[in-house]
Amino acid sequence: MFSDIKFILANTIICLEGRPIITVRFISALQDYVPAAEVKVKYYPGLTVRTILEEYKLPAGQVGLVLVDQKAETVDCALKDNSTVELYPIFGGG
Amino acid sequence: MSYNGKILKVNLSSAEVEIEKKEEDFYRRYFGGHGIGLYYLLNESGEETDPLGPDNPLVFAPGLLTGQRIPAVPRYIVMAKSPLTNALGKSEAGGWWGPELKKAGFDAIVITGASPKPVYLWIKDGQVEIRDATHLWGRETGETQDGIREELDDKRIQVAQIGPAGENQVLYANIVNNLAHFNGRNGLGAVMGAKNLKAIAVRGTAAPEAENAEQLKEIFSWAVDNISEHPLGSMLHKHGTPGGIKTVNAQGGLPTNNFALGVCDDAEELASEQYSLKPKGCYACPVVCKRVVEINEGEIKVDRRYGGPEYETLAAIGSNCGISDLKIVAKANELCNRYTLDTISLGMTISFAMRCFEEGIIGTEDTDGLELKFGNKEVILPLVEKIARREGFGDLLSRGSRRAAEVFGPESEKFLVEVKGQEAPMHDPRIKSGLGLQYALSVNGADHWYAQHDPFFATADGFGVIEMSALGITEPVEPLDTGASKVRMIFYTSLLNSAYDVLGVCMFGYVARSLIPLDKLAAAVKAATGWNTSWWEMIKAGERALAMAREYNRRQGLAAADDRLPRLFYSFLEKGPFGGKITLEKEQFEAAVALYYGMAGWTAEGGVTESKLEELGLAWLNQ
Repeated sequence: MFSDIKFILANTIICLEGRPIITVRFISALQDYVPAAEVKVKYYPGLTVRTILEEYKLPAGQVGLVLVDQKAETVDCALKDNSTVELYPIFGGG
Repeated sequence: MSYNGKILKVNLSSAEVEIEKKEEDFYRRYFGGHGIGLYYLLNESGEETDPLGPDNPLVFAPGLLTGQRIPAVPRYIVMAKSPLTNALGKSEAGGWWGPELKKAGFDAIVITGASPKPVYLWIKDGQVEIRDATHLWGRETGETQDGIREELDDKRIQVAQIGPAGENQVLYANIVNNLAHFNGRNGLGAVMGAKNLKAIAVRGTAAPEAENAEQLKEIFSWAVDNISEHPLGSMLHKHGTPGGIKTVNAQGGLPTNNFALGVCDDAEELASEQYSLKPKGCYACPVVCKRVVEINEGEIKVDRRYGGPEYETLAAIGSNCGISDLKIVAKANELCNRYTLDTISLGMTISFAMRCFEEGIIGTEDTDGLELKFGNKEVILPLVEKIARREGFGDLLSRGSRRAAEVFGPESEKFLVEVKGQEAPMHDPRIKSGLGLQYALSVNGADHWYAQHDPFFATADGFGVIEMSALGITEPVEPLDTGASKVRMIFYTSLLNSAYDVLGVCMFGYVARSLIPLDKLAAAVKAATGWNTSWWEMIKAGERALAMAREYNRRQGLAAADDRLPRLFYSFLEKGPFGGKITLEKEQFEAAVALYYGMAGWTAEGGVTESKLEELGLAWLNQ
């Protein structure tokens, strides 16, 4: 299911020593749809949040807030190495 | 057909009961829910109606589809002039009572007059009885439901009722069915209390026959098969509305300390699911999203019968009062549900008083000695008790924040967060402007389901844009935009939400907030009614109900000046990503309201143009 070698679970293999890594945290309900609440992803130029979501088969519309290093961004923003991405589920109505 | 063709009319002053028969043309025009409710309110209300007087008709009306085996269509509306806003009062509930009324043979109940002594209505399969409720008066909701079911010897009876707060006419008392489903807003429980009407008990065994029951079964199976796979539907099922707390907090829009901050440092605790049990649902609903909480720790015990705090309650009584102790919020929620108090207005009225206390506008000499500081969790439960009983300082707070401000003095007014006298729900227009339009335009005061919510329309990938493209909303709109695109989105979806309301649809079952798409709903309407219909006709039914609501408010003396936001929303949040920035400009916002009027065919004064009334078949309102 998660075949792309760029995506490696934080709690399994750590073979990226010395390489730039993106930390991705899935918040709250989004954790139901991914194998771990936090994953490490190998960085490469042009990597976007959308690419990460596609890897985990999460529709972009399910994400209500993208924080990259604590700053709100869109799913299409190009990530920088060593960034931390936090993804929150969409919410509206109560 | 999906309707019974019968409206039950009860005069509590004379103890007379009448059944009014209606034909298909009536349902084709007004459908159900607030369409039918407004028809009767407009025909039977005077222009100077006293909300707590005998001349204020009180209507209970399920949606057109309510009672059918259609997924997530359990809703009914209660309507009357609101004692909180002195405008149209309307509030919907899910649960089980609405479908039961349809099965008992009625499409609505219109209650006029006031009983000289406490009574309850007993409706069973077309038979109606006004029964003495003296022995139930003063009882909490759990005891009352048990008492009625025992007295009538049927555990399947559905009871819509008020607790002591409704009897005492707290101006934001609500109505509950099945102990955990609320007609929460606008103080309609106080209207029941003023009529000495404790409860309406209903038992029915035959829903109106659908034209094509097989097709309804297919639609129901589709929803059951797809709920666990749908990104939004499954999140609602697993986490309910409390699943939104962390998102809104990270966005910087979680109402905190009377809407001052936007960020609550301890939101994690409020979002905890440690006391949550398996969720419960409503009639014929595969989503099953209603939270159930049980606590049996130390001095705080919370009974699962009364549900659990939803997002609105966690924020209103929690973060907005500076409280992050989930046990206190859950207990306050349970007490509100035992007494029938609207948790939004209650929390907001307390948070307003807290802000006034912190600013030195009021002191302990005004508050019965209570230290009303943000975060002081010791005051919450005593205040709920005082408000429900209208004792001491609680009597003042039982009238809502706007009336409390009249007593606190003009200095306090800048801390009010209400529209038309109703306290705002837990969505900050300073991070999503469409909520501001909803609050301002809603006929019944600040209401967060007048239209759909901005986040679903923020990007081209948003479920709002994807699903509402069927209605012509094909482009994303920025959450803070107040231009024509935003106004159009709010206008179109306000018509949709109004159509949902006449049908009895729950927002948590249908797009854009959940899984069932518009084409399946249209198919369900056709299969239930046998009508040759489409979304065009349904949207027009929604628009007709909105126009009737505007006309009702105009007759009660409201005008364009009442469609405004509290000044606090034009100031900046003190914390979070939007902290220190003005995000909502008054002039631009008012231009957006005026643009909505133009799109809707409303006059500059806030009424409805003659040509729009003609178009909607409402010329009779001018006669």
